[in-house]
Amino acid sequence: MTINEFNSCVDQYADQLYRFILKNIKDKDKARDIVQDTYEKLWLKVSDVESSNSKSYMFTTAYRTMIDSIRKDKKQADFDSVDTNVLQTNNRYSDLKEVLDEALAKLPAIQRSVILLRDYEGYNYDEIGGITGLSESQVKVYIYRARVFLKEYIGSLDTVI
Amino acid sequence: MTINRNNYEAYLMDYLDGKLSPLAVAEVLLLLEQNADIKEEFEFLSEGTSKDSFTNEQFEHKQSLKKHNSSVLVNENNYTDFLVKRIEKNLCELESSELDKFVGFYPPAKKDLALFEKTILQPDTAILFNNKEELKHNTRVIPLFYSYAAAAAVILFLIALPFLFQSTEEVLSENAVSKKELNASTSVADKKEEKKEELVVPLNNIAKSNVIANKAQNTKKVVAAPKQEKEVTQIVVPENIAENKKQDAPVIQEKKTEEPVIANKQEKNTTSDLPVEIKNSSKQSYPSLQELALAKIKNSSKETLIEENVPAKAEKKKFSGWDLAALTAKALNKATGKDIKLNKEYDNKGNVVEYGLVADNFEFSRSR
Repeated sequence: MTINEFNSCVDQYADQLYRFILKNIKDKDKARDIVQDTYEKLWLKVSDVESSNSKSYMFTTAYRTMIDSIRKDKKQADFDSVDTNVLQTNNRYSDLKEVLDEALAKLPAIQRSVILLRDYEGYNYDEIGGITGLSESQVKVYIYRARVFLKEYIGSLDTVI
Repeated sequence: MTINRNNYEAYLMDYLDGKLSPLAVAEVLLLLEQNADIKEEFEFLSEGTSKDSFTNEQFEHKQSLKKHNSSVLVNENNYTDFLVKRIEKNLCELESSELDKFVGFYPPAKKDLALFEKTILQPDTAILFNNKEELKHNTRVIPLFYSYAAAAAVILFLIALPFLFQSTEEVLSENAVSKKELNASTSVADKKEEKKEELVVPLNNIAKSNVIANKAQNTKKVVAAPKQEKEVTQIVVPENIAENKKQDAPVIQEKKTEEPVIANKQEKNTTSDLPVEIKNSSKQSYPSLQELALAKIKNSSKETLIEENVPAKAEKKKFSGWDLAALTAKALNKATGKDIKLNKEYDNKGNVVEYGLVADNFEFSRSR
């Protein structure tokens, strides 16, 4: 990858990476730091990474950096600890996006990551598995659970429906 | 074929699987009867492989593995899976059509399908990463010369720092000393001026005229005066005059007969009065720092020397470590086109308290 290709990667993917990380950790400063770290790591490997693989490389690096950051801050939620049966809320929403954001925040981190990669970036299961270090079948399961959770969360809010 | 303790395991396994011939079976049974421990082991194996132990076990998820006829492909129990597959775009044509049929006659499925469609996340394009320019790397190639120049500048600056502090301290101390000396010698300076005037007068008088004996007698005061005048005459004045000056007044009077010769010489240079010669000579050859230091130590009459030599010393001191650093920085700025600055910070009393080097991405300071 040349310097120009690297700079092109900044223009093309920095926003997407930032959104992906921000949706995961809900912290602008940390999201910015993670994006910067990701590009620094890419720069260190700039001679080894092909331009065609740069997006996947960056999402993989960003995801792992994010996980490291979460672990470091001890904010990582237990992936399987969310009780999907407790979805009752008294809040009234008029905006589906707000509801989805809140539901997304309640998802286990791994489910949130895979569904964001799926919906935001359009990655297939295999690619998501490569980024997150999961098997394809695990990715399918997590996406299935995330969809069901989001659907039930939305369904529990009468105002949205 | 003989079954013994060394090969009985294979026969036992074959016996349990029903693969042994009647003769071999008979041999196995005989072995079991003759060896109680083998019989016990055989019973344990036969329990583990007993068909009875598996008869009660059932796989609970058979239904999920079965392929249904098209009429029952999507039902009330599994339609959620098909809805998620629809959202994920993983349905084949058959499954998709069956799901559509099912949704058509089962309203809860229709409602759930609408909810699942809402779970598809859309990226918020309003969220942008604002620091892209910071992430980019410049393609400008920095010549190797600049690296060397920068390294040389840093080294020079570091070398100059001790001189910088030293020279500043010296200047400050010398300023303090000279101030003290000047203050202390203000009264002495007046006296010196008087002495110079006194010196001028008699010499002029000596040079211009040997007639004025009375005025020459005034030089008694000068000659009788202190040693500095000896020094002055030693440095500048020709030997014969110096000798005259060293002598007492009466001697001068005695040598006045010789002075016209000197006077004549001086008269040729109409503007060359002795005091002028002193000033000119002092300008032409300044004593070095070592000479000055030695003179300082040796000379008991410090006032005269300080008064005459301090300007020269000050000129010498003008090129300090700070000047070296400033010149280096200036040269670097010209060579690289960058802006490298040297800064001084002063306290309320005007003393330098900190030195600093400021470049584009680099800043270094050192406190005194």
